[in-house]
Amino acid sequence: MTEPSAEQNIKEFIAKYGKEGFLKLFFTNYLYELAEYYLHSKGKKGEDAGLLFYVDFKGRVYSPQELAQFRNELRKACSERAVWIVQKIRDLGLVEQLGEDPSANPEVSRLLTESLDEILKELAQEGQ
Amino acid sequence: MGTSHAAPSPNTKKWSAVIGSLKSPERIASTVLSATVSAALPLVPIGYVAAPAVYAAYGCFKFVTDVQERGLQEAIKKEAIQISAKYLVPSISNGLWSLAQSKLDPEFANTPFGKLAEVAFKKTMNAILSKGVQAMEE
Repeated sequence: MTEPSAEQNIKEFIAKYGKEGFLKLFFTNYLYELAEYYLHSKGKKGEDAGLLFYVDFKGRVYSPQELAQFRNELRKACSERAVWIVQKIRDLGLVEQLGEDPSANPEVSRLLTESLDEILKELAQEGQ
Repeated sequence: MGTSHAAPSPNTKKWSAVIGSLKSPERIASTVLSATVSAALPLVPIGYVAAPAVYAAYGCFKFVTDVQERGLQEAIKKEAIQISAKYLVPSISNGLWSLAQSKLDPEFANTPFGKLAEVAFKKTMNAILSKGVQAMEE
């Protein structure tokens, strides 16, 4: 990868998807990482998510292909919820405010953080 | 299965739904995700997801504006990002996250959720810089 190629890529991405495109990808990746983190947590026998992620209800180990497909579907589900999050951010008129330096604007930072927390709380309640 | 260093599972009623969705004969990713989000997000302290996200967005938006106005090379110089010619894309993503993290309260950055934000940010920037519009089709 060269600097001109990277520059072209970033410019084309923003021209097509705008800043909201970054937000959609970021929240897709965040939700996916959050899900992987919790789905690999350790519980008591029979309720160990870290084991159940790899083994089906009969105790059969999922094949690498089955796991890859599940991860693809999980990512797609994350992407759908990310679209919902970005829609909420847009509806609240917060996209442009995310371009303001939060460390220099404590009020804007507080507003954005509280608004995002509310959106995520709603996501958790609704399950979407 | 690599879970020996895993975090302990939440001990809540909502977590039982996650286990149920994983044990289901027809495991459906969307159902598993809904249950996981419903169980996990309420356990995250206020601000621990949102604050890193706000700083990540600002870091990206500012960089993108600089690239559009001055070009990539000048944008990198402006932020004094150390880049590696061999690992150009990861070094830019890494530098941008370091800038965002330096402004973020360590209370939020140095947590598992701050680390999740770091991974999500770097994956996002790596995809945009290396794939352009194709990044959205991942």
